[in-house]
Amino acid sequence: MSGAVGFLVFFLTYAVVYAILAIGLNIQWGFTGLVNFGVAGFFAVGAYLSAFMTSTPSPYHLGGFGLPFPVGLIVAMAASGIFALILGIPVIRLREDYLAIVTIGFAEIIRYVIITEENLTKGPYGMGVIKPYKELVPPSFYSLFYLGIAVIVLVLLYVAMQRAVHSPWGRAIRTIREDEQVALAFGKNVDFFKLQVLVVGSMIFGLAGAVFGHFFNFITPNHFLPMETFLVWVMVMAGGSGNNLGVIIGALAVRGLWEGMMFLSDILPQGIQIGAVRLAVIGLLLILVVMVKPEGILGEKKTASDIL
Amino acid sequence: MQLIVNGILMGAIISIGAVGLTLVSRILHFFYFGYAAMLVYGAYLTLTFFNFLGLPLVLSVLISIPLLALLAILIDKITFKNLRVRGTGPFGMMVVGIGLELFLRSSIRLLWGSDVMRYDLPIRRALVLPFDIRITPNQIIIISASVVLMFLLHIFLDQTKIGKAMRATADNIVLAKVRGIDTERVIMWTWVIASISAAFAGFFLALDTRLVPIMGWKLLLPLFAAVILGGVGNPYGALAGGMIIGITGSLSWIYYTYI
Repeated sequence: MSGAVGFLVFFLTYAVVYAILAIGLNIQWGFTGLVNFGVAGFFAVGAYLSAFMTSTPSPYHLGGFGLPFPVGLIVAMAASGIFALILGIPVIRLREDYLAIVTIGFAEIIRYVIITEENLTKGPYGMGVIKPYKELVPPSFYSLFYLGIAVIVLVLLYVAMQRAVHSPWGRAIRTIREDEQVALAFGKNVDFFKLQVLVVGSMIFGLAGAVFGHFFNFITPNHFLPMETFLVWVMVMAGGSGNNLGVIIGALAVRGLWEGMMFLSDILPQGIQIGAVRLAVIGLLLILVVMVKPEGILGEKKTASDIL
Repeated sequence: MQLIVNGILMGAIISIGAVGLTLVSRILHFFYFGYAAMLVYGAYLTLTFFNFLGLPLVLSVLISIPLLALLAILIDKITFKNLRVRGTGPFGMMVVGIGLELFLRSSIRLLWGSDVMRYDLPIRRALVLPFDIRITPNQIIIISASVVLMFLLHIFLDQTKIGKAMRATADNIVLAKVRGIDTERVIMWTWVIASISAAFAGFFLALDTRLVPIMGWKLLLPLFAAVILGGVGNPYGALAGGMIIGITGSLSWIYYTYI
């Protein structure tokens, strides 16, 4: 496969990775009101851990256990969850703006550790990641096959999260978002719920990282810049915080905008850097969403108790 | 010893920047990520006046300050003023601030390009002081100018009426309104102080290293650390916090070289 179809498959797989990230952030921000600016950090943890687990032995980086792909996914999720727990226990009670700074600091620590610990991660040179189940399909159809895997992961995750947010647990976290005092008055352990949400959401980021690594087959610290975090935030805020379908649409739309701007380079005068224009548009989008449409494209459906 | 001197130098740059950021954080009541872009704008405006128009260096810095302040106040009028009227919380403002940071940073790349640039100054040898400390004349200028700036800032905040109003607003915004302080005017002056602070910090950072569009973002986290360590809204705390962060950051190299 090549040309337009190949590009479409590439684009869709990339968008699915971001949709997974957006669902993770939606659980944290959309449903619980928990601010996490460290998305890129957990994303990186997942990508690297899965790469360590599944790659063949090598003296140049950590791991190389040659384990199967699902093990990579599970370890990536577990590791991100553990990192979230370590980070969360001391900081979960902070107010949202302080939490933002702490989490962004966490993501930068992860990124700098990856850059400096060259003997573990090959540092800025980046490390290769295997293509799972490569032998099952002919090479020309492999990218389509992997898109299928990614979509299956996304659908499973979507169903699981829809069930979670409509369960009593989901009602509890939404109460926390609306009014912590009310949740406290109902005897809910607010901090514990928030910690659970931080861990679950971050595990989803880890999962997205693993899916991303095996899709891109090559990861460097530059894939996990703070920019990625803000991109996911735009997707969630524009798509509609608190609506899982909305954030998936947001992910597709923002990713489409991001890739679509590449075609601008034919129109724009020579010498204008497309990367800078992209960044500017994402910045403007963030400003506009907050100022014009804070609830996003789809928004959240108002729900009330059956008794009312 | 060399590390301590380097730390003081970095601390001076962080302190100067943190003073503006702490006042903005407190008076506008949110953490302004776009401050990083203000810093870089200050450095690049100075570069334009100095390298391309051939003005003296000190004059270039002094001209870029009012321009930067105008830009900051204009942005405030377009975005944050509306949000204040609407009663948007600190988080919404912070997201807008991040959007501004991304937008302004890329506008720097579009206006000046992403290449590494430097001020057209002759390269001078580092002076060797006792204890084998090496320090360049530029670094001496940075440290001494920071001290003078901090002193001027202290006089401004302590003696002038608007400085007092600013400290009052930073202390308790509701009480300040009750006492008849025009908070919108205070906010305007906050942007002016923030611009002075950002322009000098950006200029010093560029003088000591090089100009790249990303340099503000790299300094932003140390700046926030200094602001929070010193207590949000306390300029003197920001000075102390900046020094502590700068020196600790520099001394951590000792640990790094021994492992």
